[in-house]
Amino acid sequence: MEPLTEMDSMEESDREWSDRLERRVLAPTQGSSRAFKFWIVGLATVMAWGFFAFYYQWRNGLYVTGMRDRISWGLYITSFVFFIGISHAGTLISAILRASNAGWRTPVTRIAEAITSVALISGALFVIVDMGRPDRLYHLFLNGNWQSPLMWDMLAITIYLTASVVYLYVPMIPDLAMFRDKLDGKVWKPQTWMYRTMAIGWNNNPRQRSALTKAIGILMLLIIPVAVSVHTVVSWIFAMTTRVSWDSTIFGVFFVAGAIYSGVATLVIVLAVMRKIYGLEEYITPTHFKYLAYLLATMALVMIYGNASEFITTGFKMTGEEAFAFRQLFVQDFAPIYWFYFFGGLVAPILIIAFRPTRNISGFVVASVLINIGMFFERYFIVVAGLRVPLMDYEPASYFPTWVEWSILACGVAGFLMLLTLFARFFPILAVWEMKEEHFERRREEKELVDLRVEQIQKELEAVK
Amino acid sequence: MNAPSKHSSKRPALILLSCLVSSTALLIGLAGPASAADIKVDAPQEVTVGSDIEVTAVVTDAGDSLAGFEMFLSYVGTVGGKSGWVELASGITDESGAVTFVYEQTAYQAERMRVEFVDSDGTTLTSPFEVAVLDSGQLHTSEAGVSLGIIGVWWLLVVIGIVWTMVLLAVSGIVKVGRSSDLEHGPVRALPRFAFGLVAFTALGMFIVILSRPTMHANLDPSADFDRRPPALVGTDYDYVGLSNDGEVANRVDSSVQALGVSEDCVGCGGFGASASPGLIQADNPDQAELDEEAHRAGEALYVTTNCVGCHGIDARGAIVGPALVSVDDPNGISLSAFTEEIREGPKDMPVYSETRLTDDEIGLIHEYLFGPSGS
Repeated sequence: MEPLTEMDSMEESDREWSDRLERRVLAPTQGSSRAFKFWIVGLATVMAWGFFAFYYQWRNGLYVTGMRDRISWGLYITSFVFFIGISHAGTLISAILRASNAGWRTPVTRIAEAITSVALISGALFVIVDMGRPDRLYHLFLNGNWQSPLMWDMLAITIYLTASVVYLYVPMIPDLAMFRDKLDGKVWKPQTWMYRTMAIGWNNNPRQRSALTKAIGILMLLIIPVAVSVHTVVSWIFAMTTRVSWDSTIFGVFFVAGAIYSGVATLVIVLAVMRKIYGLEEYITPTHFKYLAYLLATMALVMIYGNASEFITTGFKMTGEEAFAFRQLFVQDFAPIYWFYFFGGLVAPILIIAFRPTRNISGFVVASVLINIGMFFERYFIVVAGLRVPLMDYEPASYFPTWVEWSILACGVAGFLMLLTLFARFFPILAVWEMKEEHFERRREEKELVDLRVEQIQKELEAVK
Repeated sequence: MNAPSKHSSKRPALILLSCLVSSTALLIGLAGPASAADIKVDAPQEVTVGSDIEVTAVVTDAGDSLAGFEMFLSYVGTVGGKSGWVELASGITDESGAVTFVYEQTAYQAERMRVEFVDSDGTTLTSPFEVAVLDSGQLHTSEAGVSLGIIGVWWLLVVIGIVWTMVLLAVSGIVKVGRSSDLEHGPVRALPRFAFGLVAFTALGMFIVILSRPTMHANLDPSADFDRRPPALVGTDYDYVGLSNDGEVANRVDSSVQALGVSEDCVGCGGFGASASPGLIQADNPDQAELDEEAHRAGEALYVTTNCVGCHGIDARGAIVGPALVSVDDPNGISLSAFTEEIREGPKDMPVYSETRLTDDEIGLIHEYLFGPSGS
C-alpha cells in the first residue's frame, strides 16, 4: 500500500486541493450557525413529543394505538421495514463499489456508511416500540424460540449493526487522526478528547496501514452477504406465515431490491442536502448523482418486474382469499396508495431520470423523495393490507394509526435526522484520506501518461533526425 | 265422423282407476319392507386420540340380514363456521348384513356420528350415535417433515461462527492499529480493547442463546414428535371482545350471560372437554352440568376472546408460554378468589387484567368454564 498522503511529492496545485479539502471537512466542527441551532431545537422538540407519546403508550398499553387483534401490526412495523431498507445505502455504495474498486465512490462512502448505522438504530428501535411490554425484551434472549423468524431477525440485525458500526469506524480512523491533529486546542475540550480517543494513536505508520487495510478488506467482504441476509430475514417474518399475500417465495428478493432502491434514494437526498449546506460541490459532483440515478432507474425496473412477477402468477390462479387481497389492493381501500407507489414511486422516477430536461440534481432529488414516499406506502400495504385479508369467516377489520403512532413515527424520523446531523457536525463527512489517495493515484497515472507521451515524441523526433 | 258410444266413454275412467290402484299397491309393496329395516350399531362410547376405531353396523329387515347393500359412516364436520355431515368410510354389507368401518381418531372433541343405509329403492335409513373422546394428554401428532441431517442448529452455529470470527478479525485490526502507534497517548489503547471485548461478548451471548434452545423446526426433525395441535378450534364464532378504538370495551358480556355470538347450531361448542358439561374436567353431576350450560358457553367465549387461550392452550392444559390451568389430578382447580387475584396481579409476567378489561363476573364465568360451577 502506498503512503496515504504524499505531501512531499505534491505539486502546488495538489497541495492547494488537499488543504482546501481538509478545510471543507473541518469547517462543520468549528462552530454552529443559528440555523443549525434552530434545526437541532426543532428536531429535539419533535423527539420530546415522541417520547411523551411513547411514555403514554407504555403507561396505557398498546390499545392507545390503532392496532387490534386482527390487524396487529401497523405503522411501527412499516417503519421498521422502511428504515432497515434505507440502511442498505451504505452497504451497496460503500462495500460493493469498494470491492469493485470504483474510484468515483470515495466522496460518497462516508455519508452512505453513516446512513446505514443511523437507519439501523432507528429501525431496530421501532421493534421495541411495537412491543406491548418492552420491559420484557430480555425474554427474547432467555426464552427465545429458534423456530420463530423473529429470533432470526434479532440475530441478523445484531450482526449487521455490529458490522456496520465497525465498518463506519475503521475507515474513519485516519480522518479522526487528522481531526485530532488539526483541531487540537481549537474546539471544545471534550471534543478534542473524543478525537484523540477515537483516533487510537493513528500516526500513519506501515504496520497501522497494513492492519487497517486488512480490517477494511474483511469487513467489505463480510458486510455484503450480511446486509442481503438481513433484509431477506426481515421479509421472512412475513413470508414464513401462511397468510395470503405474504405467503410468497419472491419476498426475500423483493425486499432486498426494495431496500437497495429506497437506500440509494435516501443517499441521493442526504448527499444533495449536505452538499448544499457544507459547500461540497467540488467533491460531490453531478456525475455522482448521475451514477446513483442510473442505479435508481435500474432498481425501479427490477421492482416493476417484481410486481409483475408476483401479481401475475398469483392473480392468474386467484385461489382462496387472493381475490379479496387483489380487490382491496387494486380497486378498494388500498388502491390510492398502491397506485401512487406504482406510478409515483416506480414509473415517475424512471421518467424523471430518462428525460434530459429533468436529468439534473433537482430532478434526482424529486425522484428520490417520490421513491421514499412510494416505498413507505409499499411497506404499509404489505403489512396492513396483508393482515386485513380475513382468512376465516369474519368481517375484515380496519386500521388507522392514532396520534400516538404518528408521534412516535415523527420521533423516529427526527431521531434519524438528529443522529445524521450530529454526525456531520462532529465527524468527517468525507473520507478524506481515501479521496486524497484516489486523487494522487489519478494524478500519478496522468503524469505517467504524459511522461510516456513525451518519451514517445522524443523518440520520434530522434528518429526523424 | 262417428259419435262415441256409451261403452267406450267409460274406458279412460277405468284405466285411470286401475292405474291408481296398481301404483298404490306397488308403493305399499315397496315401502312396507323398507320401513321394517333396522340398523344396529356397535361403536365404542369412549375413544382416545390417535387410536384406530372400529364401528360395526348390522342391517336387518324383519330379522333377515340384508346382504350386498352399501352403508356409510359419517361425522359432523365444521369448516369456517359451516357444519355438515362428512363421509368418513363406506362398505358393502356381508351375508350377515354387517359392515365394519375402521377410522383413526384425530381430533380431540366429542364426535357426533351416524351410519347410513340406502336400500335398493334409494330409501335412506340413518342411525345416529355419539363418541366421546378421552383426554389422552397428547393431540394428534403428525410425522410430516423431511429429515435433513446437514441442516440443524450446528450448521447454524458454524455459519454464525464464521461471521463473528470475521467481525472479530476486523476489530482485532483496530486493536493492532492502537498497539502499533508510535504516539504517546495512554488512554487511547483502552478503546480498541473495549470494542473487542464488547463484540466478543455479543458473539458469545448469541452462541449461548442459540445453544440454550437448539430445537430445530419440526419439518426438519419429524422424529422429535412435535405437538402439532391446532391453534384454535374452527367452528365456533366469537365476536371480538376487547378494547375498541375509543378505548371502550366492545361486546362486553354482562352478568346475565348473554350468548356471545356462539351460534346455536355450532358443533363442538363446549367441545374442549369430552362432553358439553361445564368444566374442562367433567362434573360428577350431569344435571348440574345442564343447568350451567349458558354460563359455560359464555365462559368459553371469554376464555378464547380474552386470549387466555393464547398462552394456556385450547384445553387449558398449558402451552409454551403459560402453565396448565386444569389438571386431571385436581379437577376443582384453584378457588375463585385466588383465581381472581392472579388475574388482577398477573403473576410470572402474565398480563394484568384490570376491572375495566375483565370484570369480576367475567372472571367468575371463566372460572366456571374451567373448573365447573364455582364451589363445586
